[in-house]
Amino acid sequence: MQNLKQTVETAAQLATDTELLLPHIELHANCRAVIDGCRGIVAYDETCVKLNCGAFLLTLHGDALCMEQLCGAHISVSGILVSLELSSL
Amino acid sequence: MRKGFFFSFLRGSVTFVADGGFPERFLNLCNVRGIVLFSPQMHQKTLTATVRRSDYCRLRDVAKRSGMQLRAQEKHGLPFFLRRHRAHLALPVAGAAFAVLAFVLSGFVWSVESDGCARVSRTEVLAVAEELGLRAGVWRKNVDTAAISQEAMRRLRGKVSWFGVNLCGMRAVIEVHPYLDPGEDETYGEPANLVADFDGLLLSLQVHSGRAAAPVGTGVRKGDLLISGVSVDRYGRSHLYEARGVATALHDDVLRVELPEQTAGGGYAKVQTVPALRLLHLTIPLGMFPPSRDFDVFTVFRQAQWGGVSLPLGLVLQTRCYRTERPGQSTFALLLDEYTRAFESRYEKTNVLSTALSLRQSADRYILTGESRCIDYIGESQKINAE
Repeated sequence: MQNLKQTVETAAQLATDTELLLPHIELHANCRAVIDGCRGIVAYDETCVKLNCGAFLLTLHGDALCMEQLCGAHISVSGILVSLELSSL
Repeated sequence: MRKGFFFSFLRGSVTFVADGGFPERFLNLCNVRGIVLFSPQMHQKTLTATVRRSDYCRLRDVAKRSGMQLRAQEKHGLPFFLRRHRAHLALPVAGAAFAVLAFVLSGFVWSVESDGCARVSRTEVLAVAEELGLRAGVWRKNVDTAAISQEAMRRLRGKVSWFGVNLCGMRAVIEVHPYLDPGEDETYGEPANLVADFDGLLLSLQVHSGRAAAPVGTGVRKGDLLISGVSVDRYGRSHLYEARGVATALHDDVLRVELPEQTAGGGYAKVQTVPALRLLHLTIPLGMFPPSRDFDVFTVFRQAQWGGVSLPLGLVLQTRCYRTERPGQSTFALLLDEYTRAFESRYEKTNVLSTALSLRQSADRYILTGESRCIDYIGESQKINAE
């Protein structure tokens, strides 16, 4: 049964359960980042936003960073993004 | 935020500033408790954000737990607006009353309009319509346009070929076409132009035969050409025929009536203009006036208009001429009767917009002068000398 599920997922190119649990990060050029699956905010100011993404820590560096949306696990950060850093907790 | 601006306005929102403590913990606690923050911005450890009015009270506990000082910066929305203006309760009440009034009034006919035609005057058309129940102030749904049209055509048989009632919003517009004898339209008389028979501002020009020679909206002098009876074809040949059409113009007219002093009992009399406001059927006098009934009255109704739309209210100007204390009919009453007769005779087919009366006494006679602004049919036939 498990094999059949994996076969179907592979054939249909569906995201696996493991992938669905992981955070999703979407970048719109260097002006906007949308993070889905965020578990909390660690630091927030105009130049740096640190987010707890469960498996790792996501750090966004830039200028005039502003949190546009904060709704559950969904966060949208806008501003001039310079770098993105992933580090273990 | 922009999409839900209207609902946000209805619910009300508060923009706050929070400083000190742990802003990140504050944000996380808000997120966990389901408090939605709009546009949270951090500037030098000071957090600025907007929340719904209902969520603002819940923020106090969050701020206490994260050690932040919270203060409201701005309050937006309807609940705050109403609270701010609760002393001026009349404002929203007046707004609601206006909305209700507009809704109720939209169910009535505000004005009945007609231009009449060559065979039937505007006054006659409106009188027939009023007899059949179509007048300002009737409930719009009670107006049976088809029945009124049929009955009016029956009453005006031989004068009109078509009597149509159209309800345009709150206006009832009556379209009338004159009755033409069989063959009348085809038989043209001698070649003639249509020229202005008085000075005025040309308001409309409807050409039945001929060529329009004066643009609408311009002033015309007596004798100016309105419709030309001469046309030139593509071969350069001139054709002459009788120019026909209907033109209206705005102009000022003076009607003067005078009587010698010894015509009647004579004596002192006073002329007073009494303004009143008319709303549908209701007439409200504007001011306090003596309750005396010993006067003759001449009334002019000026309907209010806004953007070309006739409103259900207007100004009634009553010119009261108080009679003398001596027995018998005064000179002024005779003058007024004379003026009324002359007015009805001269302005039978004229739309009189306003009239100002003035009374003057010369050596041995009284002179009553009325200056009227009116819309009148303009144009008289002037034969073309073809020789």
